[in-house]
Amino acid sequence: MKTKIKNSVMSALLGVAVLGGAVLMQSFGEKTTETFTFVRVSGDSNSIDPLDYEYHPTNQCIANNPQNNCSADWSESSTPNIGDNPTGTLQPASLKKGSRLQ
Amino acid sequence: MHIYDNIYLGKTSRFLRAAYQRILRWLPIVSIYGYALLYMYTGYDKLKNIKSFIKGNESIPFIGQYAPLIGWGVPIAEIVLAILLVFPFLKLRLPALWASVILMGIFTLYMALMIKFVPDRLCHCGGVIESMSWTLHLIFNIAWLGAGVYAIKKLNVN
Repeated sequence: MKTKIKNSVMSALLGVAVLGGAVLMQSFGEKTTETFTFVRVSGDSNSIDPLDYEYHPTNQCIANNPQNNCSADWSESSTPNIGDNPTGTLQPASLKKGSRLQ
Repeated sequence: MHIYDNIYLGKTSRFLRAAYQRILRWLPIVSIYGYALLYMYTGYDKLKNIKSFIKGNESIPFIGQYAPLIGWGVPIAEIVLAILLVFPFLKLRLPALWASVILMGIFTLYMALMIKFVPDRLCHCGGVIESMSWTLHLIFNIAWLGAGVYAIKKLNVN
């Protein structure tokens, strides 16, 4: 009985460590660089309107359609969240060709 | 083949068999805590970015109309499952593991359908998971699915 309780307590402590580790990993794992690639989600193929772009770290561009740009790099003062529009400056010559995300 | 080669091969195969058995013995518990780590990490990340997660879900065909429900439901479910998986007092570990594996199955099916049918894909999978390629992500999910099914099988036996 004592051993069972001891094992349960150890297991719970390990659980707390695992869950805490997950939260810490998420908190400290965020990017700190200043230039981020935003994916074009609307607008014309050559759009430079920040509202046409969203931040998605996958950068899932399909770079085989020369008619469309699909992403661009923007300088940001803080790390964007997934789905944010850019608030900073567009990096010159950073428009990438390819199909945009739907 | 020389007799020493046989001895060497025997040692190697014994070592490999022992390693294999050790992996199988620890796999269920590693799977349980691994699921907890994964779901807490991605669930917390989704909750932190809840607005963009809901917005991203709105653009997914067929389920876009349920975006707020899915947007709140998925991360909360992930965090609740992560907690239930690691606390042994509640005796909910096996049902939680079942639910975790089913949820992983749904994610994997979603990914497979996206890879097969949607040329321009969107993933709001959370944190570093989102930076994986789609194929790697699918392999990652299938591996977790396999580990979860194995863990359920072993827990049922015990």
